[in-house]
Amino acid sequence: MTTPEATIVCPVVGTLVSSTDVWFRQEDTDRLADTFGEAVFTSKGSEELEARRAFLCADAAVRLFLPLLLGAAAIEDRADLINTLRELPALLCARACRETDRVLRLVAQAERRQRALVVAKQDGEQALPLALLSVLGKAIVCSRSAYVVAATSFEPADAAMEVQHVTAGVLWANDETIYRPLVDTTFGLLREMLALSKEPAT
Amino acid sequence: MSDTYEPVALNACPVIHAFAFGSLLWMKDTDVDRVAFYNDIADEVTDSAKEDFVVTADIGLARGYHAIDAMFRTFVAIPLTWHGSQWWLGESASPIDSRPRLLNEMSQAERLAEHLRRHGPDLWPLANVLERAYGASNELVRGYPERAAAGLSLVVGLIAKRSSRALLRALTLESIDLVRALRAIETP
Repeated sequence: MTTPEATIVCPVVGTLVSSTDVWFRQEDTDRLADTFGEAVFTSKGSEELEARRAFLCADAAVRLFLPLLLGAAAIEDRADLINTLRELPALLCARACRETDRVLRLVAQAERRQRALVVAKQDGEQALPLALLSVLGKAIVCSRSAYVVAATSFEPADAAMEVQHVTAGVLWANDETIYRPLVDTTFGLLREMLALSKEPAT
Repeated sequence: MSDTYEPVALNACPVIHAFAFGSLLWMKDTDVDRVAFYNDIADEVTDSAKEDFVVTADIGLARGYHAIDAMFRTFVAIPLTWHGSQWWLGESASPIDSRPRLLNEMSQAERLAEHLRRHGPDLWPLANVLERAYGASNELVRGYPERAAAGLSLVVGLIAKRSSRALLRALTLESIDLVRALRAIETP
């Protein structure tokens, strides 16, 4: 739709904020508007800026949201996996994403084996383990989408969409106790995205 | 990107996956039915792990049209009915299964959204729903059915946010039906 806002909102920022409309409670939606309102509506910049914001999304999905998910699931001890993810280098360039992607696939393989064992033990209660594994896959897609934006049909906003999907998985795993950390992490991600200069990086 | 890139650990139809994950954002409050919803998604994920699992572009596009058709004629119809905008629903009686039909529906949504905007803040939430519906449709026009499905999940989420518990359950059941219908589409 051709509205005045549509032409000046960065698609990466806009995609992230759109999903908060759905899952934020009203007081947090209001707080987001109070905190970032004008900056959101004038956030559009260059394609290079959009790509940098996409990398921020990938970084948040893998190193912030995914550990939240693993911590919230609490099926069994995942401290090693959480630490592995948090200690990864920041995913702020294509090379970092590519290297990290290999690590994530190894983590996914380990998770898959674990999930198979859990499913075997908990016959009929397979939804949560499969959800965990699917969300892990989404985080991998997020990291991938960030570094292929220039080479494929992916657009930078796709990275923000994958963040939305990872967030959904975290909410699924634990509705209440994880809500506040999720909101805070989303605010932090948005703050970082808007703080990026509209000028090309040097 | 290297052409030797390996698929992610789990794959599935991108259209179904996009709708499913977006839906989990708002389904958290409907405790029982969302399990049934996710079990269907789990079946999709299990099927997609089979060696012969293929989602062609034609199937993806057909699923995208089916999802957008459900968006206008099932999901968006709910808040429009509250508002009494039957004039548009009447024109939406036939399936949205082609590009001209979709463009016509988008035009209707755009006009109604602009109409609602002019009536003040009380109707802005409904205008938001219509604008998101336009945005989701536009992704399909551009050839991205998975983005359209993700957009649809946000449309339903916006409706769910202002719904009663009973309506939340209805939205969940409609979502279950939609996923099953999408999975049943194997040839366009």
